[in-house]
Amino acid sequence: MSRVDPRVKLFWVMLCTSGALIFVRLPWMAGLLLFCRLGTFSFGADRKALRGRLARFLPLFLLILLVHIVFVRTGTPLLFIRKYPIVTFDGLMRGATTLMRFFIILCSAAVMAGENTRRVLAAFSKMKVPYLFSFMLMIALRFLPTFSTSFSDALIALQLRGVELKRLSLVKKLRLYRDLLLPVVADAVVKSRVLAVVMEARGFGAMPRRTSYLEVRMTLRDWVLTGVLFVLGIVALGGYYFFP
Amino acid sequence: MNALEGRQISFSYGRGKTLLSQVDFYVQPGECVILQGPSGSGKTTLCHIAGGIIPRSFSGDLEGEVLLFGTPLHSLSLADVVKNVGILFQNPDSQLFFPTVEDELAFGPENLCLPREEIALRIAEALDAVEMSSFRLVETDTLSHGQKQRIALAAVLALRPRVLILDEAFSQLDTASTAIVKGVLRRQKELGQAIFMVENGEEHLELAERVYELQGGQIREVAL
Repeated sequence: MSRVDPRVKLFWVMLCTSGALIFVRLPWMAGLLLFCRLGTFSFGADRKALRGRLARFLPLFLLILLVHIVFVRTGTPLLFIRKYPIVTFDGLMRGATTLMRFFIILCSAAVMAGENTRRVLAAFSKMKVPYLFSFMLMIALRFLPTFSTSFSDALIALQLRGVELKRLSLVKKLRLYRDLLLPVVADAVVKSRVLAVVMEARGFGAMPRRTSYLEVRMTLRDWVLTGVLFVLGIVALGGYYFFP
Repeated sequence: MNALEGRQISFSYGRGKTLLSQVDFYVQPGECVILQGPSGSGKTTLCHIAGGIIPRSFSGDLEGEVLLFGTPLHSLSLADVVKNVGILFQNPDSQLFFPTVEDELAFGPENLCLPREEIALRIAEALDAVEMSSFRLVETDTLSHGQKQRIALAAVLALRPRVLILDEAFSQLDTASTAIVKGVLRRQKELGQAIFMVENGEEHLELAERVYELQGGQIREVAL
């Protein structure tokens, strides 16, 4: 299934992320999460990278859950401290729904991240998306890890000069990050200018159109899969609104 | 007719001091010309002007003109410039931006709207030239620095330019890669390609027919 046409994967991502934004009831979101997980594995997402990403976002997820639990005051109280309700049913449900929403988005992103960039560009080209737009998207996605590496390199350079990050207070750390941001952004701007020059030197933007050496073709399996996904999407949306 | 010719080129970045002052140079087909000079003398800037990057991508006060086979560079479209002038930069990491070698080499010919069969032919030919045919489907991230620079050169060769500009392309290469790239340049010269390269080391002079020295904004031809 990992060789499914990128357009089918894009359609699946669109369905999952749209569902994640539309659904607010827990059972539906849980169902969507299950569907999304199945697709993630079937479409050949890098499981290790996904696990790493989930682990990295875990503190943020827990914070989001905590914020919902603390600030949503409606619903049946579930946990009291003395007479004060700390956890309510609605707070827990909303927190869980929001968490699932993030999981779904991460899983969808993992599927596209696992896809060959050139196949995605070729798919965009078949979909008549202007190539300047699709390349901009690709370069931006490839630039994010570069930006993150530049930032961690700058942090390592500081540590090699004797700054012990672990001993700094949170305020001092935040100040340090703020001070590092400008040179790292400046470095990213320089790199992006160089990249633009290199791309242009190889003819990028020279013609209103460009050909694609890599060809993607929708097979019968891809069309059937798209059809099944489309029907599932319609049924899910109808079910969500007509059977609350 | 000269393949590449600079006439009375003067350049300064904005209000700064003049970096190049009335510089004249030329490169004939089948000839390799080396440009030498101390750091900050404007060698890279002259390469950028010769390749049309200045004023197309970087601004500054430019006077004079660059002729490509007798036609002013500024009067040519980007597609015409790219078909005729290939530029290889110093750092291979900034020149490779696709996941695999094949993707990297296909990028240029795709931009020129060449058909798939022609692109396949050019990829095979360019990889063969840099002795990396077996690397066609390899991920660029896994290559060594020298291999990356050879792939960057192959990506330029896939455009089949008639003029090749190299900006300190040897500076980060190991001995083996240097020998291969030199071999490629010799073959390209035999095919009639004009090569204009910035290199300071004595070890590359064997490739050159002529040498220019750039210093204090002035250029002069030096004896080999």
